[in-house]
Amino acid sequence: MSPQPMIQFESVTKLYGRVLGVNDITLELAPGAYGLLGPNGAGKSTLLNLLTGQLLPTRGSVQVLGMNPRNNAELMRRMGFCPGFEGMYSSICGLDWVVYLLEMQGYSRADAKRRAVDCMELVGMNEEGRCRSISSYSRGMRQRTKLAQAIAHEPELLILDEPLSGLDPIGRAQMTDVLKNWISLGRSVIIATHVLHEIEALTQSFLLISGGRVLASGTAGEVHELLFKVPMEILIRCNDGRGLAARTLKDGLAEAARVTDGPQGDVVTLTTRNASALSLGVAKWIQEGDLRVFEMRTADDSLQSLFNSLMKIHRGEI
Amino acid sequence: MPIHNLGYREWKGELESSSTRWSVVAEIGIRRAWHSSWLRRMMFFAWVPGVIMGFMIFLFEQSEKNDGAAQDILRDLTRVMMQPGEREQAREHGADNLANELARAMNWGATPAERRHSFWSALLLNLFRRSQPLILIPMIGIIAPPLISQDFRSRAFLMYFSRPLTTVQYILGKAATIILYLSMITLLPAMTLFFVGVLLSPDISVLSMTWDLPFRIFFVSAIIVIPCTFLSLMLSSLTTESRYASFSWFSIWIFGFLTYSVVNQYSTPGNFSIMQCVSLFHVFSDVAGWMLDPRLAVAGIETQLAMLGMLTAVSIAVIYRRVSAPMQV
Repeated sequence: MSPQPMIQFESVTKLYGRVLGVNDITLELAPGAYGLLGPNGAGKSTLLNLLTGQLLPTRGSVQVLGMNPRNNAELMRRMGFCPGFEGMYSSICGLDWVVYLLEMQGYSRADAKRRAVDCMELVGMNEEGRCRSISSYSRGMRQRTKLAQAIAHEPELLILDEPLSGLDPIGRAQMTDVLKNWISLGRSVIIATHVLHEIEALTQSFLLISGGRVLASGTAGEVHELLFKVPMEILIRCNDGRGLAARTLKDGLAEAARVTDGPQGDVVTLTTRNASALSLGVAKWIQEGDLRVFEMRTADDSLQSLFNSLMKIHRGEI
Repeated sequence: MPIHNLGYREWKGELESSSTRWSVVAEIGIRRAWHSSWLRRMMFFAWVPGVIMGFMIFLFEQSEKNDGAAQDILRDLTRVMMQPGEREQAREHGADNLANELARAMNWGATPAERRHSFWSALLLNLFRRSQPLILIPMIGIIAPPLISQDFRSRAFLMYFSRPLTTVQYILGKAATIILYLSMITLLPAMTLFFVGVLLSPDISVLSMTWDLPFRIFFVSAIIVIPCTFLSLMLSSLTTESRYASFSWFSIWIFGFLTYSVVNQYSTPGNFSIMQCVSLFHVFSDVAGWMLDPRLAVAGIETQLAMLGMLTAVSIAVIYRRVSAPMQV
């Protein structure tokens, strides 16, 4: 007999008036750690709000740990939520906030305080920091406090919405360690983000969501493979745009080129499936003295390209 | 050397029952509201009328012991506060200010027990009808508007409801915040006044004559505090901007008062018009009068009580609807 799925979406659609939040999602996830990857406005937060029961699906049904999440106190006892928004009162101190939320879970005042101190220490909030009012917190400190309240009651399922945003590199490393430790205890986590490398260290299972639909799912390697196959746009500002476009097309380094005249040189936008080969080619022409390049960068976010391509595949355009 | 694991530590303990979870919501509200220096000042001034009335009880008890000086002070105090001709009016139509009620109290009742009951009731009536509403209105104007609206704006409600907290517990916690502060300026001073009176009385037998007053105080407090609490919470739940809720709260009182004054001018004295119910100030005043002093003839009391009940029910329904579907705000 297969174990009960942790999350079950059955033809779930959520409409905000005429705006589509999520579109006909059918999904079954076994307990484990998952990364929910998607650009801004993809429907990640809607999906998380459906999971926490804050939103009712317009159509279909949602089951979390075998229960309907809507107004389900029993489920909330087993679930931890770190939202992407603030959601904290600025006039009280971080420690008190975590203590209150633990008391709502049913901890006694003394237990809640002990537990809150432990968890805030775990996320790197020292005594001075946790006893200050939240209004004086940096973005990173707020993130840490939110994470502390989410894990403090030891939920079976942890839902994190952009948990690493606003953290400095050291903070990211610390939080990643905390979450790795958490996952190693066998607990389930869903992490929503739009930055792939942020969660690569935490999980190998990803769900790619865009336009309110789960477009693909797989491991980090499979995502990278997809990224590699997706055409990428490279923008180059140089002295001879037309010449560069002709050479790249002739050598098969680019599939399409667009040249526009700019005040500081020609701007060439090249569409390529092999960005590294194109870079090597451009470097060679610079070395030979044929070309002067003022700027070279990707014209779009690679993940966004991936999502755009996946959307085209779903629409049957590719 | 043993290596200590400083990583995540599991908690092993017993969780408490869910029945007191609303009190955590209330505690957050109470602590946040107390940060307002205006609230603290108001709380201080809210007790001044109670202290003055406590002093008057002292004077009354002294006058009952045939203390000439106390009798003179009480009589002078009453006379100073009297408007010309009001004593007669008070006798005919019941009382409508402190001086009248004092005069009435002093004229009514042949025995000390009757006089005491009348006098204490008159003082309590004044506390509930005049002094406390003037503090209650701005106090709620400070406490209530941000209670739910700010949760909607900051989306703190998502944090609340990601806990095992029901909608009813959340509403109860928010209401308890207001009820506690209002009780501190209505129920508590009135009860204190009563016990001060008992302590200043010649013997404990006074309790047998005034035993009904604590119950009356409790019911009057409840009938004022509960509708005010839910009305103000409803206004808070209807917006994400607490200033709009504040504005609506004060508007209800001001426009109600003005409407009552206009309607009253054109209505026959003694006749009750349903339009008079628009002024909460007068409705509470009438209901408090009716509950504290059954001898007062209050026109349209059933209608006013029904109106308060309906107001509370509608407010609770609206709050429940808004809090159950916060994402639609």
